Amino acid sequence: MPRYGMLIDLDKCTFCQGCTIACKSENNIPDGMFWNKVRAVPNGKPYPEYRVTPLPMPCMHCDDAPCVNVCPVSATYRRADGLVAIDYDKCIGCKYCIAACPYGARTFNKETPFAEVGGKPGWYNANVEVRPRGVVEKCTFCAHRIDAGNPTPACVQACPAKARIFGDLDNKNSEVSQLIAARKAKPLREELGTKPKVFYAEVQK
Amino acid sequence: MKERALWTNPWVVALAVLAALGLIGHVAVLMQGQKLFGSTDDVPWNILVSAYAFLAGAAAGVCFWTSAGEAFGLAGFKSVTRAGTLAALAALVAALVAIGSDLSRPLGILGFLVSANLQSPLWWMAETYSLLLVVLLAKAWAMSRGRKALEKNLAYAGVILGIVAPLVLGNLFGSLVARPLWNSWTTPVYFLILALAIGAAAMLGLAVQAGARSSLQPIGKMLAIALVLLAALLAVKVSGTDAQYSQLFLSGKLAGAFWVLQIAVGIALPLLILVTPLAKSYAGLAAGATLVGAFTARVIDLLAGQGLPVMTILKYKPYSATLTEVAMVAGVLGLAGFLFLAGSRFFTPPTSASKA
Repeated sequence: MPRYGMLIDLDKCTFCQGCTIACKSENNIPDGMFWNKVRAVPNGKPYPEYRVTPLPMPCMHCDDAPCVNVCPVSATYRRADGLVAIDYDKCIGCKYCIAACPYGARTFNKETPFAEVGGKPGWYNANVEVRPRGVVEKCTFCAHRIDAGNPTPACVQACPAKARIFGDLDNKNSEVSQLIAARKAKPLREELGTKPKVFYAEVQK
Repeated sequence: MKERALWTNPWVVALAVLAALGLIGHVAVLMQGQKLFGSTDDVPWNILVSAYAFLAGAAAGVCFWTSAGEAFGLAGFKSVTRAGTLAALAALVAALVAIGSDLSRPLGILGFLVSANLQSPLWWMAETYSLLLVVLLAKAWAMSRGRKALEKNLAYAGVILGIVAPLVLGNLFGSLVARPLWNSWTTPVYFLILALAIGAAAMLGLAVQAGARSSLQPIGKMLAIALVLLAALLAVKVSGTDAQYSQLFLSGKLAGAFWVLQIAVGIALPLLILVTPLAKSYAGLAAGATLVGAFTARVIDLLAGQGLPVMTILKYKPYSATLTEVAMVAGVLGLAGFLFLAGSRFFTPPTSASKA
């Protein structure tokens, strides 16, 4: 069974937000909500040394996910392939998982999505359920694509710079594993012990 | 002398009105969703959670003191045991209404049984407070039937639960690595000490209400000890906290409420009263001030713990309580008071409190 993870090459990311838009389109995400967010990280230096590095942040799909640990009704769970998934039918909307996530990856549906257009957007993707009001949702690594035999999340497919690589972290010969090793890529906030599976290759000087 | 009808008591009416306001808010949220709340993805827990933590702490704290009084024969506590048990029950029911109101899909609580996650601190909190509810209901029943032996056995359970329940609730916050202000061993202990202080303050207020003069000094002493411990633990907690978090309430936007309501009103004023001859005449004020300070502490702790983004690079949407949330919080506080006063009519006969 593969253990899916992702490498994001910060040297290649151009801040185009193509990943964000592809994700919203693929997963029927309503206005104002984002599963993938590209953050701006300034280097703290004054002009003319001032630089901003884009930092795309999907869900980290941690191997020791705090959100999985805290959910009282097992609505958030870890799949055998390492993806952290949500069973929306079980979610009670306590938001403990949102409080627990150290990466700000989760978002809460305060309103019925797309209610103003009859429950489905114009670009509706029938492969992904529209989540109901009152549940928490987040990036799924496009689990529906993986389950359909196409392990390529929409953000990976959409990136024009090929900054995102997705694959089996347990396969040492996979492109993602090789690049993580070659670029000495690191996950975010490693010291918290959450074992995130999104790795970042730093900008090469 | 013929007893006045319940509804002629202006306090009962006022509290019932508050509870009704809360109900209106709750119905509005059921119909329109939590867009009526000011909570955000950065501040997912709102003041309803603060109200829950306060009322649950009150229930556990009062349960502890009434049970300790019965189990260990503490002088001064026995005269308010009945009223205390009812107060703990009223607080716990209101607490459950508060937290239930914050769940967007409360019918899913069946999942606590059919798909329980035993790793979840929230699951353990739900079970512990459910057990507390059972023990309190059983105690109330035993009292009403004069079943002294059962009462005493339940008192031992009440002592244990009065300590375990706040610790479990504190651990719910303390186990979150994403929230540095809460992620410390001091958090569960702080919840326990605060619960004991709230409980002692409530007992003191009940003793004043019942005219049980002989109870004022022993209960007041316990409250004073709890307040000193609280102040000391707060100092330890703040000194061990990342300055960017503690500055939110030491010198930032929460500073006014922290220094005036939580410290001056909630700790300094009651201590000043309790350790001086003022205690004879102003014990009720000490009790009330402690409760105001404790409620403020709950709100500040919740807001400060979520007061910064989980990562500095993330944008942050701050929280501002909406009218609906304020109404619902006022509603559950009113409900607790209403249940106590209304329940007193049926549970505590008018002549049962000793006036010594």
